[in-house]
Amino acid sequence: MRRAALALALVGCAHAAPSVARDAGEAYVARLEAPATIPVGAAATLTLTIDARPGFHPNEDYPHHAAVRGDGVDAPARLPLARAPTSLTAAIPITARTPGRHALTADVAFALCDADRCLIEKRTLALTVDAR
Amino acid sequence: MRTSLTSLTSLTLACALVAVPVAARAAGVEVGAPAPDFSLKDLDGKTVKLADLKGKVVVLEWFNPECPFVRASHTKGSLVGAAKRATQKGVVRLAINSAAPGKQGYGVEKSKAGKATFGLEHPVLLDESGAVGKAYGATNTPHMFVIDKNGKVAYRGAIDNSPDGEGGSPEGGKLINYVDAAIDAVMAGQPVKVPSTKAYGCGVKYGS
Repeated sequence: MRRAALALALVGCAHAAPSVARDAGEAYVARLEAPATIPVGAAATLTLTIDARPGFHPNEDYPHHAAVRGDGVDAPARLPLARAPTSLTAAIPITARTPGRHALTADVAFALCDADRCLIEKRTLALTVDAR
Repeated sequence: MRTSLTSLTSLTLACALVAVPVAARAAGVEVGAPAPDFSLKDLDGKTVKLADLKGKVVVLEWFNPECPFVRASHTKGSLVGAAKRATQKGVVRLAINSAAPGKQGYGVEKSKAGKATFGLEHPVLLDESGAVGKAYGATNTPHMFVIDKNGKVAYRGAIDNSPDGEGGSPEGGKLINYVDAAIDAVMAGQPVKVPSTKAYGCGVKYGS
């Protein structure tokens, strides 16, 4: 029982206070999330999610993508987003080269349509990761 | 029971007979087939008939002034200067707006604004019933059709292989302008190497 409680506490710590960037447009909500801390010199993952609002869906042809950059962090220059009927997602691998807080930006390009119109969106999401 | 089965069979056959022409209409005109004739008004109310252009190479662009793919193509991508390049070769360019009332980019005023913004010198024709768009099988804006001097469709599909509309994400890494290539082939009397591609962009905003 004590071991189970400790495991639960550790899980809680790992997911406590993640770094989150959010951008809400008329057709979507975009969210970029990082763990509370990431290890130095080892792979970590940012999670990017774009949820289309009701009635909207990702354009089927557009090359939806994200590009992440930040000082002291290795990240892919361009990563395609996975398309689902009402959302776009990406698991973005990053590696912090040095300890400390690193500011990251994700330039995200995507297109959404509903029955009456289409939108091409280009947004920048920014967050800080704590590397230890 | 036998009567029910007979009725069911008749109903199935009837549905099949109805379904065939619907499917054919959705596909639109095939490459090599005669381009469907049309008579549409431009933004000044002047009628333009395809039949009057017989003997000329004609390029049709399905157009929606508020579609971001159209905007990107005309301001950053493969449609920048495309009309000028084509008309210098003697090609007739026409844009067709099949948006229905209430839909994105519908109507004279929005088409005029788009024409001014993009610096278009060729006519923009209005097809608000969508009949011409459906006859061609136009699914997207932009959706391009190249018609040869004999009035047959020589190319149908995307403007290029960069589905962001900006020419910035070409599939395979190298930007290919399918329409310019088709025009050059048709003008030279040669077969079009890539006569059909999948159009990308906004869906045409038909009324039904």
